[in-house]
Amino acid sequence: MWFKPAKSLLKQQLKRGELTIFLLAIALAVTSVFSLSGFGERLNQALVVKSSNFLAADRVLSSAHPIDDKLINSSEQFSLNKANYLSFNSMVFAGDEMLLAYTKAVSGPYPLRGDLKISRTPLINAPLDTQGEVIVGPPQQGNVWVAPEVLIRLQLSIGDKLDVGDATFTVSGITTEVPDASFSIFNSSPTIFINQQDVPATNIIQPGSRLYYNYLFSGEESDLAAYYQSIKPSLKTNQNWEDIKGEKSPLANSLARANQFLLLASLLGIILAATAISVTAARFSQNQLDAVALLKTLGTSDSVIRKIFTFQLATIATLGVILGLIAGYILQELAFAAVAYYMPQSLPEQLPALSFKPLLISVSTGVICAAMFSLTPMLRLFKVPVMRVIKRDMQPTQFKLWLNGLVFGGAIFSLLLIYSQDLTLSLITLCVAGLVAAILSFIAMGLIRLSRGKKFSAASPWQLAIASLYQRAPQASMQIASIATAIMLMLIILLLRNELVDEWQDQIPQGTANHFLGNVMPDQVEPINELMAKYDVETSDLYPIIRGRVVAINEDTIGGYDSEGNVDNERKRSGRRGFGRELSLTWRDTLPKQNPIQQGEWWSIDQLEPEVSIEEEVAARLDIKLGDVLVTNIGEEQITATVTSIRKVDWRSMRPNFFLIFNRAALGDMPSTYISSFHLPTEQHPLLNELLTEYPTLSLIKVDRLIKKLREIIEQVSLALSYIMLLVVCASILVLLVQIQASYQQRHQDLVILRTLGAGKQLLKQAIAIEFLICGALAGFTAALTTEVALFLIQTFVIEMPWQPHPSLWLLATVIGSLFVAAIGTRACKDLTHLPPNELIRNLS
Amino acid sequence: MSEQVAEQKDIIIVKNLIKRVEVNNGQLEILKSISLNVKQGQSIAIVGASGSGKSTLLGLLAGLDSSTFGEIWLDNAPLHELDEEQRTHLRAEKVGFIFQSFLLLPALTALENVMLPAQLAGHKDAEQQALALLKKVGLDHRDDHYPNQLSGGEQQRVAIARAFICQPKILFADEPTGNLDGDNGHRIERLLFELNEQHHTTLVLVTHDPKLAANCQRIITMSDGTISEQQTTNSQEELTHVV
Repeated sequence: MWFKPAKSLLKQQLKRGELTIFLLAIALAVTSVFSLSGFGERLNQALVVKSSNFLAADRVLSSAHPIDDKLINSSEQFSLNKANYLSFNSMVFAGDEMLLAYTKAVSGPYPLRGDLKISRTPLINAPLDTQGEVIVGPPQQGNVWVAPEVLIRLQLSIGDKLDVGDATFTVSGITTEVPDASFSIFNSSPTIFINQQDVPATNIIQPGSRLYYNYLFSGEESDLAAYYQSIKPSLKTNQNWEDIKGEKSPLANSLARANQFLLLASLLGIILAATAISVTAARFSQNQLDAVALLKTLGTSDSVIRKIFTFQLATIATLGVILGLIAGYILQELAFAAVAYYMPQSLPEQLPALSFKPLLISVSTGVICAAMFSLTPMLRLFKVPVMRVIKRDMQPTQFKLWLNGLVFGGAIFSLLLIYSQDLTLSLITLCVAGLVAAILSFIAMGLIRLSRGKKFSAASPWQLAIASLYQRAPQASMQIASIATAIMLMLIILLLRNELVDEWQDQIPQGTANHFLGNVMPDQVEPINELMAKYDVETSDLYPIIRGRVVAINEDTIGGYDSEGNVDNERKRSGRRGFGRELSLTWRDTLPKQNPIQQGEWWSIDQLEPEVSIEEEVAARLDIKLGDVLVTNIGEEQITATVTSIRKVDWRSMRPNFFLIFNRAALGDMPSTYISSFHLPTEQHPLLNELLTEYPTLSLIKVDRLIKKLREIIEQVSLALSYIMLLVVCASILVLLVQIQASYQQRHQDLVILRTLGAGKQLLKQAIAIEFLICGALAGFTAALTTEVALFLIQTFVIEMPWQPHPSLWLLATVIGSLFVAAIGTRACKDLTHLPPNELIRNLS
Repeated sequence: MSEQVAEQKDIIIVKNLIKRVEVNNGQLEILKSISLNVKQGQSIAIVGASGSGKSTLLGLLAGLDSSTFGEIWLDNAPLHELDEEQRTHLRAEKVGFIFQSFLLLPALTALENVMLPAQLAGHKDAEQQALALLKKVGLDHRDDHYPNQLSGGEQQRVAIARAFICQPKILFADEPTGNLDGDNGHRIERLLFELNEQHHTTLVLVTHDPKLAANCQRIITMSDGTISEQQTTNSQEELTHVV
């Protein structure tokens, strides 16, 4: 019995446009969430896939022992591609020359991600990665592919023989690009590739050999996750399942940061959309008061009324969700197409598909928004007194402020949590939103006092504006809150974006070292410096490298782990936790750049007692404090040094970094090799050939590709953020319009009265402009305040970046806020000042 | 010009007034060539069924809207030749309004609402005038109350005080007692005619209430966009034009 009237009421309301704004607000929320999460997810996947080149796969399972074939083959059930390689260090021989090489014995379609390039002809004097062809899979049996250094150091050319263990191979190619090349200067033997089927012939696998079994997988993210879950119970502790994100590399770090930022921006967008829905739900309910009172008068029961309006809302919400999904889908496709168009090189060939997650998140956003935000307005609506049909100014009782706050806060929090799945982030975002609300009610109170404190004159546009704000004090404070939220979002995105990009740029400024030089003998330091000077290449300081193991801290011997990181029970019994492996140590007279001292002091050059400086994170992990004494074994010698400083180290910087730096008194006399880093422009690549020919024992690591990838990520994230900024700005304009729309009727009436009583157009225009200017300025000021607090919280607790105050932000936000709101507000109210006063008689009488 | 000026006592002169509006399928003529003269100090009621064009005529006479054709002279000013802004100035100077739904600004107190037209017209002593008028309508003790703190009758008294503050030559009232109960309605009625007499204002009243209309000197009945006139017992004047 309720359905028919409900349907016809809905039809009428749709015709009259009563529900249009509510529908649009829900569609807006769903559009923002769907496009943001869809775009964010796909972009992230694209970044991961592209960055996975650095692993040569999406996931790598590595182990010191072979893993059961059944386990590996079960990946086929999950539609994964697989390949594997066995890796070991081994001496290789060519005639009388020999060299320690890192051997990869490959089986299957290696690499699964990224390109392996092999040149079948001798190299020419051009950048390496421009030479050779892309190859998938191992060399043919009996063949070996070698790194250019091997050719130079063993004086080989294509077609020559190379012995690995007991087997002899023919050099059939030179690797010019290896996707998963090592970036570690401390483990820098040149790499050779052989076919895995040749391994038995080499007789290298003996009991006690140090081998690594690496199983590579690629496929859909969900399949990879499902496969991992299925094998997880069978994996041992020393069998690692790695992805690019889990790597402790500058790339992984940047990816994680970019991810979090996209997430945060999307979260803020959701709050904005929710605000629009909340405002329109309240307005819808207010507009229905007469209808409900009339229905009650006509004898409609409460339950039927509830059904009628729940039906209306549910229908509108469904329509809004569908509209939002369509718009969101188109938007994220467009955004992704823009990335593909502007940066084709930074996307993988096969673009990642959209998963169900954005769909689920955005549908639940629409449902939660429609249900929760219309809950209190609807309950209020159902309570409308029947007497309203006679006394139209009778209002249903308002819900307590705290109850409204609780429902609103609860809804926002559940949205944030669903979306981010991060409790801390959701709580911080919610707290900031709460803070904004509190500050705004305070401002609204101040506004009331201000407007009532002065003598009123209708001839002053300022006083008309203030009176208008006063009249709408509760709505005005909400309006200010929404605009402040929008401005705050824009500011946070703008500032964080700049700071993130700045920080990333700082990390890899122009001229960042793109080569590491290792294994430099003391007598080579001078001539190499001269050679570098000849080519006008600036190097970092040369750092002496001495391998050593910390064996005791104070009186306690170190226990726990062996050099492979495996638990060593014998060691575990005694002593405390140590580094668990041999370290590369260095000594210096001066503090390295960008290694700020956190505690203690750097030593003076003439210090005769052995001292050591330790990196802060490892000091905290191993509970090492200033004044502690570290005993370090270097060869057969034992060095005892006191910890006199604790340093911060930026591990992402492209510089040699060390956990422990000793003073000259401690290690100055130890035999050592040196390492250095330098930036070499592409056109100076001949220097590399000269270096390696002259000093064949040098190790050279190129990090060009890594740096290029980092830059690409920065560019992509910047573009993504620009898109999110655009969406947020659009959403905030819509929120503002929704707010103005909500006050339109009252404004209309006021303006027509004023106009009828003889107020000039100019006066009214000025009053409207001033009202919005004040509104915007207050919103801007509040936004600046809350942005500062939010940035502090976000930077300190979420993305761990140093926080600094932004004095210019206050002025900027206030000015931008007032101009932005005044421009949109006056535009939206333009019709009002143009209405002929006769509207008054026609509409209001 | 000379013929209009000759009728010095006519404060409102309407000649062949036509108002057409655009509707879905063409034009609708709401007022069909109306002519009408109103003398200074006269009270005139416009009555008629809903949709007969009463409010449209009132809006045109008060300069709230512009006509499609014809002339309206308001205290010698050619309303039909003025643009909207000039009509606004004219209203501020010479016209007062009272509406059925009072239409007070909710943001302003009773006193501020009364002061409003005087301030817009640049009067220096707006506050004193407003207080005096509030006293006349018996609301001087509630000058700092907001409209939502006043009853319907009280709100209409404030509106009447507001209407008289600029000492308008012409007062337009649209169903002034329409939203009020009998007692309050009579009170407002009395007040309206009393002040009208005191200020020697011309009163143009749109109403459904025959008793209220009967208090006016002239009654114009509107029907389908045309007017006809009947003389009331209060009439001291001769019938002028009937079209």
